[in-house]
Amino acid sequence: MSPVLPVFLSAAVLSSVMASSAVAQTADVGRALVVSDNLRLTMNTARTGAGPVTAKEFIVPYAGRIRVKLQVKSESAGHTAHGYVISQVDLCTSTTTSGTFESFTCDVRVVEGDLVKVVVDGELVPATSFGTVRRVHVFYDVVNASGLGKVLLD
Amino acid sequence: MNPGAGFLAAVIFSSVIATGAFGLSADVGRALVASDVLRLSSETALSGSGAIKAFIVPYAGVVRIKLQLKSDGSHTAMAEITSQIDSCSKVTTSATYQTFTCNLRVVAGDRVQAQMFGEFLGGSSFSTVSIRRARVFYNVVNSSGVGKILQD
Repeated sequence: MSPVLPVFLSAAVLSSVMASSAVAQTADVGRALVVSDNLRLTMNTARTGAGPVTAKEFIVPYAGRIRVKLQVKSESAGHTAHGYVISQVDLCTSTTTSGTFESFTCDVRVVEGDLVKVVVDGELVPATSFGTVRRVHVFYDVVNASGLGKVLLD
Repeated sequence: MNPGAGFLAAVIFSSVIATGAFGLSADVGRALVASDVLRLSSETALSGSGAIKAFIVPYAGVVRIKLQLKSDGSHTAMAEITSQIDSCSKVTTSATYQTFTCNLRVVAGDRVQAQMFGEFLGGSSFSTVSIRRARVFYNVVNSSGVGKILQD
């Protein structure tokens, strides 16, 4: 047997123990999402509804805040159309009466693995009208988590 | 080959492999456990028929909430403390602040909120309640990486 092999093996075991111990205890505080202008998810299909109707759904990998850009229009100009961005912990509403697409930007807070929905709605009163949403683009950066909580309402 | 040099090379080589491997697999992330270490506080006293205090927590786990609640002395004051996956309720009819504690399970990035309500008095009127000193306590620990059966 090579005289180097036992040395190599013992060194490998020692190093492995040291490395695993260090990494398990200290290294990673986890990841978080912060608002940015880096495009991560794109859902371009135009979807129309009233009632309301879930038009888009997507999953985010970590907790934090993301930016959602979307275009909303009313199918009956003059009547209100809404585009809602809904996470487990936040809600953003975009409203228009325009018959042509208007662009909106929402920054919403999300939990880890959140299922974020974009819901479109029109008017039910005095008569049913429809809204349309398209070009839902999701932007964020992945950063190291701060590990801190936050007071939202004092 | 010099055994010393071999040892050193082996350590470096092995360390690189080990670090890479554990970078992908070893760290199970962080979790919160209920403790008496104060992390977040909302001290302001709020009074009315209803009010909300809200917090964001960084990881999944269990946090401890303490708050003080009082009523007008003749009606019930209720505080409902909620996360996305858990809740607890506290009630009092005392006209002086009473301290309540509950341990609440949370998801990562969760919104934890304490919402207070007065008693319905008919019409659109509610009794007056007050809340103050809502505080969140937890320790950040390595995640166990295992799930938990809540109800079998």
